[in-house]
Amino acid sequence: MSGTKRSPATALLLAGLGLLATARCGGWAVAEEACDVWEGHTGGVTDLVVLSGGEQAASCGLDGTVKLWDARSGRFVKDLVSGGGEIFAVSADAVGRRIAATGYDGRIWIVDLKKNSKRALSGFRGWSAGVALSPDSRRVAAWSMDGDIWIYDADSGGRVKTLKGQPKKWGMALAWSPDGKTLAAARSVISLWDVESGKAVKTLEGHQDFVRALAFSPEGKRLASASMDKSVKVWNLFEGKETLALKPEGFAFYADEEWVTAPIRLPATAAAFSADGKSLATAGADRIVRLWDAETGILKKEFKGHRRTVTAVAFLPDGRGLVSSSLDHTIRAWKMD
Amino acid sequence: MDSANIETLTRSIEALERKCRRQTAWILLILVVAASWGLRQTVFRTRAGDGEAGKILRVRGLSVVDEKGTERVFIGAPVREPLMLGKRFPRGGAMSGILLFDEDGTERSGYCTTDGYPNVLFTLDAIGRQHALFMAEPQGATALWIWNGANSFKLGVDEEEAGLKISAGGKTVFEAPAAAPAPKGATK
Repeated sequence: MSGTKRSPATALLLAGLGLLATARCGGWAVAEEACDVWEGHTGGVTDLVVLSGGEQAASCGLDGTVKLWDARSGRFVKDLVSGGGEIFAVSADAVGRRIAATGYDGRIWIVDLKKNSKRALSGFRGWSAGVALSPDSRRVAAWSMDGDIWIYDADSGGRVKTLKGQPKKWGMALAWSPDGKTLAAARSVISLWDVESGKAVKTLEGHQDFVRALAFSPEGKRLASASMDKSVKVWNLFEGKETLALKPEGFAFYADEEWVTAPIRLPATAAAFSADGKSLATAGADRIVRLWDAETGILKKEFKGHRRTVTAVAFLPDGRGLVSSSLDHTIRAWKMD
Repeated sequence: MDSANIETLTRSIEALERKCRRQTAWILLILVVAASWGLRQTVFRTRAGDGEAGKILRVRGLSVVDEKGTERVFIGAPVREPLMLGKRFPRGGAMSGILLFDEDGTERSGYCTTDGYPNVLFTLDAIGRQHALFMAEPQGATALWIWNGANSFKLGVDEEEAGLKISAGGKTVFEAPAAAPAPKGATK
């Protein structure tokens, strides 16, 4: 690191006056991490998921496609969905059978990877910004703009349950627990729903703004939430209490052929636990992918390279590293050592 | 050569000279006409071009994108739902005007009129949060708000009064005119 730190407010004030160099005066030069870049999307990549087994990954984007990738080589395999409107979210089951995606045209796509087929579900008002496929691949959950969460049968495409939310209080973040019994859904308050009974059994309050991403730990006892309020929290689900509140600081941007980090905080968009539950990866509008100790909250590593907001992070199995998607149209695969 | 031949030769030369002058005159005339026609065409085309440039483009929306195809400016009637960090949100109500987006495509500013209750407003947004609003209502009430969390600045005028209020940490640190005291017996 080099350079003089300036208070975020001052840096912002000066940056706001058009003296963008100030942001750099208030920041420090940084090095770009080595990574593999997966290119193929022609618009911002809005979500990313590593499929069961870790051999493949699926991404979706503002270019209206859902793409399948070879997660080892980064090679583009094929478009699973194309030709529609912007796609905001993609989800995969834990058995490697299906993926689900949803976007601005109001459809929910269910792609059967085994049968090489797909179907589109529709019917709710507006569009959905969040979708989640259950670990056993039998159920698909999606936020509706009327504030409810619709649960579909992935085989028949029929709606099997509606989790009643507050009118028009829709959200974006959804996640199934590893055992498939609980669905976490968030606007700014996180609700834990017992899917069988259709009742909210617990709420987790603490975020001040929209939650963009939710991720259960592998053992299902903790939940990570990334929010527009610029924080990432980890919750103990048994006690219903916040155990970690991470407040990532530093906005990395590339200007005049060098990377600079300005000391400001921006919304968080992504969180994911490692397979052993010991590490937590986060990312956000600050364009930095961060790796934390999930127990202590100690920052272990930062990965800089994305030129725009990072929208999703996921771990590759067997310690192969991390992948992240970004509105810079790319996916990047990072080595952790 | 006898004199008769010389005279014949002289007449022939004179005839050729006359013919040459006539042809020169015709060529000059043709050149003048051609030049005039060309000049007229040029002037006509220029005026016609002026007419094309002056035409009014009638569209419901116009999108300006950067080199990566990210929308940076949108003029529309109405404007579209806002995109924020890669996801689209429902807008509070229909409005028409100009929107500016950052390099992520996230909406950061708007200069619009609203449908229904016809306000005109100008906004400046952080990523995901509005922080400045300058608005005029149809009856003339006009206000400027700047805020960040519990800190805010409000300036407003209408036909009855003008007011200024500054708050820091959620508490009012300056207010003019001063807030009226609570009536006796009033309880919180």
